[in-house]
Amino acid sequence: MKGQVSLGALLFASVLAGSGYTLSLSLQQQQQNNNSGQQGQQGQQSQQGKKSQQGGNQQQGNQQNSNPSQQGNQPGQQQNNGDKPTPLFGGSIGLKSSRQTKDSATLGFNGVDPNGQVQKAMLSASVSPADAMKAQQLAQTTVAPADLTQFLQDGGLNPNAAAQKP
Amino acid sequence: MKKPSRILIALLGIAVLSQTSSAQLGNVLKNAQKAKSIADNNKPWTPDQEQAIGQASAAKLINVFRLYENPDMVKYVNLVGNAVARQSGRSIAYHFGILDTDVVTAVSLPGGYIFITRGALANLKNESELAGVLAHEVAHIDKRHLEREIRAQKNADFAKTEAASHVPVGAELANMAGSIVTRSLTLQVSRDKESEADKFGVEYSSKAGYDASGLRNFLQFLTSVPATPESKRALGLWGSTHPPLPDRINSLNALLANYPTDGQKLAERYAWYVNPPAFTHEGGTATAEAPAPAAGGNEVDGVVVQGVVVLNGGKLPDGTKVKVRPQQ
Repeated sequence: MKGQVSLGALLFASVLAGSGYTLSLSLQQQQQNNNSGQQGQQGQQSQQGKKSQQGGNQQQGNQQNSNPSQQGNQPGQQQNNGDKPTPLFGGSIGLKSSRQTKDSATLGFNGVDPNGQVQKAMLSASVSPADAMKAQQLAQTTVAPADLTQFLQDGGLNPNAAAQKP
Repeated sequence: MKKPSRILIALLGIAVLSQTSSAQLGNVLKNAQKAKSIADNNKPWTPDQEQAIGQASAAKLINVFRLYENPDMVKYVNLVGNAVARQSGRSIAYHFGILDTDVVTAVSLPGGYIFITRGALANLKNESELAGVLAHEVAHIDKRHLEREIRAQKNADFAKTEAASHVPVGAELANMAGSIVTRSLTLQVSRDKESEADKFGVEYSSKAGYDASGLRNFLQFLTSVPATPESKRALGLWGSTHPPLPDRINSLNALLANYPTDGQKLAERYAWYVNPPAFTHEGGTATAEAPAPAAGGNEVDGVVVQGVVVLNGGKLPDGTKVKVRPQQ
């Protein structure tokens, strides 16, 4: 009886250990084989409870008007602020300034500091709903095939596209 | 006393074995999780993931610089961009936007989002230079450069497992977009990836029919800009996120020896859309005597703002004669 009891206990122990190891192996294999589903669902579920960071703090660009030079060029076609056209370039930096006007309300080095580096405050700012909407509109921006064909033809460009990759 | 002690030893054995088994199971699960994260991070993003991440990153970039919303110019940039993007062969929709800043740069994001700044457009000389810059950005997207860097970063940091196998949303998506835009605007693109983008950018623009030297010519121009506080501000971002210009120009010169030299430059068409003429006429509708084909004829609508004609339908090359009819 003594031998039977201890033998039974050891057998039970080995079964427990063995089953645990088998279980760990099968889980590992399953996790490696599982290419997306389970973890993705868990991730999405965990995210559903989180509050979106978007919205709220709408950041205005750091507008710094440049001194307009007098090159005699014209304002552009853009009319952002009422009927005022938006000039294309406001700096006089030794680079070519294609347009200078008195309407410099939207001119400037938006987003960067005097060293030309992006302001850290801008990088950490939350995206406003308006920015998200503009990105969505941009995502819907497409070029009509007929317009592109005409454009290529007018410019003497190649009308044939490359073969699509798989 | 012997019986209970043997039973006790057996039970202790069971307990020890169970503990070991449990610890082993935990380690194995942890390793499996790591292996899965690495495997997921090494897979390219799905189209849905790329689109979601790209659009959120675009929103972030717009938040930083704002958009230059000129429909005609945006359409023009999209036409040029698509002319070169269709030579990459990747089945993805490209979206081109203009950022409202004097900074001279261009940025590409996952999902086919490409931005060029107002400052860059103002300093390009012709359409082939624009095509060269946009084709370079298309190549970054085509080769998934930014995406690969983000995935590599995730492998280096096992704590970050988000977006490995699902389309991110909410705060997770916002965090990813923030990381991507921060990386794009503050870290230097590796020399290898930049060289690859230059190489394929030249290929795409040349295949599209443009002068293959457009990008090289623009980079050469940038090297000639005098150092002033304003040029430092305009070009600071370019310098901090790209390898040195002379190195790239030398590589491009060697590359261009293999390309035809008779591609289109299209300076006049570029001027039509981007560099405005010096109109000083008042009143009525402006009519260009030298038609620009892409504008759909020679009649151009415009309005007078503070004594100058502002065109609505396109831009005219310098020197174009213009007749102005009184408004009916």
